[in-house]
Amino acid sequence: MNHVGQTHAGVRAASAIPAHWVMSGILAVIAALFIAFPLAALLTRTSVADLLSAARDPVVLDAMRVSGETTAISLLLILLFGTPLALVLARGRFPGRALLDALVGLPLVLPPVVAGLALLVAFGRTGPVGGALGALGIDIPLSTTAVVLAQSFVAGPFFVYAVAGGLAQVDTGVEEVARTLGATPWRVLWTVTIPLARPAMVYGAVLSTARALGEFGATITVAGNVQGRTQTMPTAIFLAFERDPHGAVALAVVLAIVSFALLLAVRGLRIARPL
Amino acid sequence: MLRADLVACAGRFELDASIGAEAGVPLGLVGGNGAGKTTLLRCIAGLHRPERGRVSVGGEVWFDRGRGIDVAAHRRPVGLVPQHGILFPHLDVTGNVAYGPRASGLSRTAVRRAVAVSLERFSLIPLARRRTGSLSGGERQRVALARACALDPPLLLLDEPLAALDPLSRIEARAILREVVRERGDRCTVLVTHDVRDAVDIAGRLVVLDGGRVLQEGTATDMLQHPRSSLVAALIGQNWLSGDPEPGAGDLWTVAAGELRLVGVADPGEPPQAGRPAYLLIDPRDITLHATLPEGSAQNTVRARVSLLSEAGGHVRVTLGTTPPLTAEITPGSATQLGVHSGRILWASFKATAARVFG
Repeated sequence: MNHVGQTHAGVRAASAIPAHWVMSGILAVIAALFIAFPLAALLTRTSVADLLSAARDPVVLDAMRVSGETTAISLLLILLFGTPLALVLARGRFPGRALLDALVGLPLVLPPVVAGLALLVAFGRTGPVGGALGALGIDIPLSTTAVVLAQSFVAGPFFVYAVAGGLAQVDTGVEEVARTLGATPWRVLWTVTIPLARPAMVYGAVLSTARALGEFGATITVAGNVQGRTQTMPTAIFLAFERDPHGAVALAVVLAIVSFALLLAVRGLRIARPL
Repeated sequence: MLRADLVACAGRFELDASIGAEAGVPLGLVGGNGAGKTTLLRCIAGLHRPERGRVSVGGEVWFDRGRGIDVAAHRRPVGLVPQHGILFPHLDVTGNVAYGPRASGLSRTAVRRAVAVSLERFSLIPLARRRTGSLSGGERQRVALARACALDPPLLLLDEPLAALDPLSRIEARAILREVVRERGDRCTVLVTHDVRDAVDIAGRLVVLDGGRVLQEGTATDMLQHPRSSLVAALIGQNWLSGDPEPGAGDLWTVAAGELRLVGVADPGEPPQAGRPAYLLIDPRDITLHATLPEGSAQNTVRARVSLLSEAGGHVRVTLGTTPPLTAEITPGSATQLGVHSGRILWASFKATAARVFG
């Protein structure tokens, strides 16, 4: 913004800017507006009063609670299982590594409804895993667990890819020095590898959190839309849109603000900046 | 005492070398790029697994393929100063130096004491809390040394510790290295370098590696006076010309090497024999350069165009474009006086008594 202001302030400065920069600048502004305009439009359709009434609506409060809880659990699972997977992808030398790499990315490109369907088949009562769990009295479909499954499935790859990329950047020479200084492989992992990959891990975790928070298609397919149990903010917005478009807009604004704050926080804190 | 007899593969490269370092005599591993110096060091440190062979340090066997012994890298008490002095970028200077003592499970007080001693020894106390990213090349090198020496390991491995430094910090770093190596007493030190000057300066014994094989091994003085191949001669910056010998008056011999016919004195240890190839060794510092045909008693005079100029240890190395090339080393002062530049035609001369002829 500052740049644009200066350019307009001085004619000499403007004429000094090469043509390809002017061209790129115009196209970049169009691209940025394309993202900003719909969100701004959403803001104009709501008011502080709407937001306050939404904040008191038990349906909204339940959806926020379910979203918060499931996203937190999904994030923990993604960190726990995604970090070793990223290590294997970044450092492993084994046949089928390329296959595994492509497999991990599949949830990124599949339509979420397909992911939900696949989870439903696998974890449904007639599915191989779901059948066994059902015998133990655990029912996954239409439960909060299903929401977590859907979110982890769809959001996990963002974390795994980001961390694998970060780990690939870590100089193995640094790890070797640590070995010669008497550090066990396990200690090297905790005191060198993970600290050096931390920016990538934070970045991946934020992307995954934002994606899990916004997850809709897979969630509604495998978990349904039960208030207080499986109804998250996105599915609540979908339902509200049919009944009460005004409330839906308020809810959508809340979700957009939370997501934007998350992304902004990362950049503001500079925690995702590489060392 | 270190003994390593190894065959190791790194990609298509094969290392097949035996080296030994006696207690208290620092060993210099010299060779060009791809000679296998770093691979050898990595095998000793346990970072690379050899195909065959044995590594032992002070009676302890670290690797023995035959007996199935392969001590893990973190259990081998070595201090490694890696190429470019790689530091932990996420730790400050103190954190870097403390890494070894902490990893070896010392108590907090013992760690603090070891770190304090090491920081003091390498004059790092003013930098103790600095992030490594803000250090100069010389400072980084000192941190890498302090980190490797914090536990006074029985074996210290230095991989090109001076290569990444600018000329000024090199001088300082070399003095520090010499001090460190001297203070190690009867513990083993191995210095890898592509610069023989560094090796001669710091190490007592040299091993020259080329293409994964040991080319020559001996004391520094031995190597300087008696290189056994053109490669060793080139590494130590000497002229080494091979050709057909022809006996002359007394113990003088003439060697016909390419377009050059040069006279030298037969080496008493390995004198040349007529009909067998011979080698003439002449120190570049013994060759003088002149703008015109020199008068005097020098038996060897060559007129040629300057093909290459380089700098070495504050001197100017002037290579003449003869076949084979001949290199002289002169002071910057005489270089200016002579107006030396590439393409300039000069006279080079040296006394027969300065050159030695080997069989």
